[in-house]
Amino acid sequence: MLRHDLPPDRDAGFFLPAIVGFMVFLAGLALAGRMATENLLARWQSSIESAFTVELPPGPEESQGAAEVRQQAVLAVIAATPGVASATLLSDAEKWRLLSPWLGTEAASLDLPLPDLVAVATVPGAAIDLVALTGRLQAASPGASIDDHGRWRGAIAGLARAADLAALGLLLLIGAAAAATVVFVTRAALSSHRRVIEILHLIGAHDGYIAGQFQRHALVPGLLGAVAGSLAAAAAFEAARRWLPGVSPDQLSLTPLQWAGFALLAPGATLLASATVRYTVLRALKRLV
Amino acid sequence: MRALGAYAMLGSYSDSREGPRRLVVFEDVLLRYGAGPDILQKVSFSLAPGSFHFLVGQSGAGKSSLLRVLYLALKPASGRVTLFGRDIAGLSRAETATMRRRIGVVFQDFRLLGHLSAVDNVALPLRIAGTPEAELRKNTRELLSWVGLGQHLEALPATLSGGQQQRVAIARAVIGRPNLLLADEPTGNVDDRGAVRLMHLFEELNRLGTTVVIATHNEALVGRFPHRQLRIEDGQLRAVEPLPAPA
Repeated sequence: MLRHDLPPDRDAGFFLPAIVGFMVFLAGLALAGRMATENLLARWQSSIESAFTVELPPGPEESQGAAEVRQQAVLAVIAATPGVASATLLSDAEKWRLLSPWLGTEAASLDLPLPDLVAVATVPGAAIDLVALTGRLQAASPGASIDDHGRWRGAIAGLARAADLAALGLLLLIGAAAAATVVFVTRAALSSHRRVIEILHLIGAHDGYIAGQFQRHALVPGLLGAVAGSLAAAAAFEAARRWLPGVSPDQLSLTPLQWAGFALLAPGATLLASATVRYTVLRALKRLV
Repeated sequence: MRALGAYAMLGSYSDSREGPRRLVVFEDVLLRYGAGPDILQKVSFSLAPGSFHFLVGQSGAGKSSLLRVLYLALKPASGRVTLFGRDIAGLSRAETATMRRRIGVVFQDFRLLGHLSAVDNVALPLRIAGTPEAELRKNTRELLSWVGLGQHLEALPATLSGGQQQRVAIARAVIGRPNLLLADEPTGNVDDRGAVRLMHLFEELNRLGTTVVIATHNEALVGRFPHRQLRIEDGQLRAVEPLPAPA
């Protein structure tokens, strides 16, 4: 236990660790939730970025044989493009399955003309010139176009930004609430230790020494509360990951590096509380003789 | 050395034994609490380094208030106080704290920290000054043994008698080897024999070079020791008594 000149009191012994622990618990949940969401969005983004779809409108009055020749030509163009991992011509059943959310399961019986669709998977990180590829595809199949899922990528990026802002705002609010509460507890401690402060001053203590005593006084209880709060947040996050309905554990997982970052929450909160204690004490002492 | 009686005058006093150097200089010091009456009125005096003075007067005369100005707990409403060559009106908070380390104070109510042991109470001034822990422990134990509390190092103040608490307070006041030692009614809680022993302790510290000022209303005790007196009546420095004739 760190040595200090202040007597034990209920504020530092119970309220401070309880408050810091609760705030760290909330901050831990916000942080872990944000990191898990970031991973999920990154996986979605990656899967969208490593695939595109080629749409081939049917030729006018085209025979089945001519259509197959055109499709094979398109597949050959795609396969010859550097960075392409695979290209699959979707069957009619697969196309109707994709459309069923909009047209219903009975739409297949309507005999509607559908364009051919080629699902293309790319090598991760490959930079394919889609404009040039479109030109080559149109030479092989007039009217061919590429959907690179840009609309979805934009939506996911927007969602990620919104999640970032929400998490940051939440952390700032929790931090501000924690700091305000620590200020309140410190002022109460200053009031209850007024006689000790006066004696320390009269025997030559600088304000910095007295502020240091309050910091030491609060450090261990604050750290204990912060560690307990972060452990509780980690346990709650794991429980949600495993048992929350509709969520698979793999969807909300953290990397070891992210867990390491999460572990910094307790010392970070303790440092914030300690700095707040010091600032509050120094400000209060300046008002004394 | 000239007889101190020659310097006795109404309202001011200068102990000039040590030439022009002065540890303490009060010039027309006026002190009041808020809008209340004047506690000290135009008080002027100076103290030479290494001197020993009694500050005498009835209860409520202003002795404790004068001491509070001396240990920098109060600043005068007007007039000038110079300690160790510095006008205290111009001291910053940090400078005030540093100057307080040169002043040892034995408070009338001791002001020990009840949750700290005797040894930790005495060690406080050294800890504040940043003395290494090993040196601090050694000096503190030696000093407590010197004042007869070697068997009570780890005792909490509440478990000590009034006299023992007083010795802890004295040890705390002198552990930092202050240039100026102030004691407010130090004999108020001890019997006559204890009071005499206490005065011998202060004299010993004075012989080691510490300037000593003892506030007391115990005129009988003061008469037994041949030291200079500052007499306060109703907030005014009335007279300085001459040294009593040697026995």
